[in-house]
Amino acid sequence: MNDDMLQAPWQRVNEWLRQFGFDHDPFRVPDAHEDERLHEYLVAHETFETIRGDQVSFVFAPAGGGKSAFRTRLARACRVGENGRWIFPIVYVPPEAVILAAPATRWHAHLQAILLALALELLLRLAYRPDEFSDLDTASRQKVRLLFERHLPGPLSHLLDQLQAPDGLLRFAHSYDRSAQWPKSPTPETLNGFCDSLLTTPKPSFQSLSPEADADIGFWLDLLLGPLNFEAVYLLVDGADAYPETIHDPQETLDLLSPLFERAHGWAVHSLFLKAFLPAELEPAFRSKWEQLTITANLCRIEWTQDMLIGLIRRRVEAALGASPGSLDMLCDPGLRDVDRLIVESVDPYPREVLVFIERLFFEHVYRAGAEGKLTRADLNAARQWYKS
Amino acid sequence: MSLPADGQTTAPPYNGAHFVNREPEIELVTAKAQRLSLGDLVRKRTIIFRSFKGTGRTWLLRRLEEKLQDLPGITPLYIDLQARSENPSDEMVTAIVGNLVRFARQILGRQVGEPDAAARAQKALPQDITDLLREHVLVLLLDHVCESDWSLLALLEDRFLAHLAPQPRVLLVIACRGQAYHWKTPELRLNTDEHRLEAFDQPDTTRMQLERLNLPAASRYVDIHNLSGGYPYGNRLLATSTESDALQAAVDALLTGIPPEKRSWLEALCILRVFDEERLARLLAVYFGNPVVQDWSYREIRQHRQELLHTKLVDWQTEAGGWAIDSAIGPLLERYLREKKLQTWRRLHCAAYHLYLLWAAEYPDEAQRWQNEADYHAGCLRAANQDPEQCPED
Repeated sequence: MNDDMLQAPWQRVNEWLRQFGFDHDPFRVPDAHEDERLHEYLVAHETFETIRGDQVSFVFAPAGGGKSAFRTRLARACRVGENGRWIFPIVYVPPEAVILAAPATRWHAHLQAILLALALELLLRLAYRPDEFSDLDTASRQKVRLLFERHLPGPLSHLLDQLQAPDGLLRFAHSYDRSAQWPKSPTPETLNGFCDSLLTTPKPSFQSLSPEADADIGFWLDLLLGPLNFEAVYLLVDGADAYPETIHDPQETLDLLSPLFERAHGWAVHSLFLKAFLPAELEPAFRSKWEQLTITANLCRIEWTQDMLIGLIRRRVEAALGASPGSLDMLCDPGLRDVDRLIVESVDPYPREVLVFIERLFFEHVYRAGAEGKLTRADLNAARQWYKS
Repeated sequence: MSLPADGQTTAPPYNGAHFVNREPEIELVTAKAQRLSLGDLVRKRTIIFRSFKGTGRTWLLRRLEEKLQDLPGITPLYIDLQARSENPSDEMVTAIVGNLVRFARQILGRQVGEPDAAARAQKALPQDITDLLREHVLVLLLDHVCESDWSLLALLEDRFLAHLAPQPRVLLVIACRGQAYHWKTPELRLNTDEHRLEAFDQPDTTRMQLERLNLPAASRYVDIHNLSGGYPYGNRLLATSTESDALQAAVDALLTGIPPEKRSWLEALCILRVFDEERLARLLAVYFGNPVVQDWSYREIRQHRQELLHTKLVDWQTEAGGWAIDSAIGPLLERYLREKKLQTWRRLHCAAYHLYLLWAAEYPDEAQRWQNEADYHAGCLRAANQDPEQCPED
């Protein structure tokens, strides 16, 4: 048994891609929410412009159809103050506790999870931009501390110790939103300064805050929309169909999210806008049960043309090369040309299908030729054969 | 107002009296800037002008600087990145940002001193720039972006441009030649208007250019236009050459700074419409009369291709599916080869002809594509009274 046989296929693909100047395989991660480099190859899409803005939005797409990428892009636009608007994003992927909660307690489970996500987002925001914390008056700082003490997992001091560890902030950020591009970490001195400032903020009196107030999302919205100066808050709901209980049952997903849909209108009046990224299979049942929302909210589907998917391939090649323009034609022998188009013509028109197909194409090549040579028509035909089977 | 370049560029110094054409590009930028100054939301606030050598990117940016300065509420700033890109460092980026801050203070009528280091460390954008943007639209004209050291671009992106791009009252105008740097920041990629700056398509525009330069050779504008392909710098070189061999002079000027070895690689490839590593190896082998080149490993051939990319005279042509030499230089270089080194020119075309015939036979799925290329080279040979059927087998 030689070394080649011991090498995992993905290792051989990596070795093969390196000869072309790729510093990584940009087609390796099929799920957008798992992809730390997603921001490097986000693509423009006309539907994106229709979902931003202060309105309730429902975005439908099949699995692998770009929902999480859209969510990532929208969260980013909020975080960088694109077009001069500072919107606070809450990236909300309903956790298992919500999935397993009985219907009667589901809203409470949602609320706790949403407040956790809100607290995480704000902690990261202030850790990267500590001036926004130091600019607050004492009462507002206390309210921030209260939010963290009440809704972050574990003791605050312990959490802040984690942030201050080497690469701690970035690891923490990735655990909250892996696909986001987080800024360069502040200097250790700056980060330590923020953590010290937070811990030396006088602890708020718990007796002064009733359980009802704490359970009212509006209480925390006032902090965001008031002293922290955000113009609006977007609740970005994603991944609800990722659990065994919901993955095959659109009705289950609908029931799971109903407590949020019921409140969408009321929230919008207070500048909290629900934006849900939902599986396409849910759309008919949603339209039937939530007719009122379909009239007042913005509904759209993410659809991909072949040219858009070709652009998606080329942006990923460019990200891996660090240069543009790029194309998989750069990896092809004279018997294979216009391969970007041939690939999108071979698959269902969704990003994940393209990614999975290309990985198979790479695998077919290294299986046949090792980590040498260029892609051939035979590699493409083998990948097509696999895709159809 | 512009930040001074430290070094020399090959473009002739800008002179507004000699500027011609480019009305659509000027209108594009000034219209966006004016909309921003009126408070409109303009989504695509990064404009990229990509073009080949000698197309007039620097002059366009300088012209835009002139035009924008006259518009109320709009503040242009020209920065030449290539002049700054030797040994790029954090300090260099700090200096660029510091200069911009001093510029902002000047515009705001504040005392121009050293930027506050503490403020610089804490905030994403220096306060003076944020204050400038409240009252002005800032148009940042960045020249020689793709030609500068990419590690400088990475630092600049990380520390400054990534924070500037989302600002609603900032217009970034980027001039670029050759392979472009891939920005990691989505705002620098997604919200862009990319335009190719082309050669003058009409000989009359060449005539106008040469007349404004008061050149006697303006009367030969048709010949000059046809020879240069309408590229402004090429026009100027051909029209101003006092040498008996204007073509040689123009080629030498366009290839200034290119090492002789790489110049010979460009000569070897200039007869091809596009190339890849296979064609690169084949043509170099023929040009140098060294068949060993064809046995180079892919890594060795790619290394040569990468070195050609670094000249910024070669770029990927997406529609054609291959690499190509700068259109401002390739045709001139081929013309030079045909006039001065006819046998070399013929051998190269013959090699390409045979190679494409072989590929047409070997790769049936792409047979038509390669037959078309073979026909092209056969046509070039016949136009020079050379019979492709008499091409020697290499």
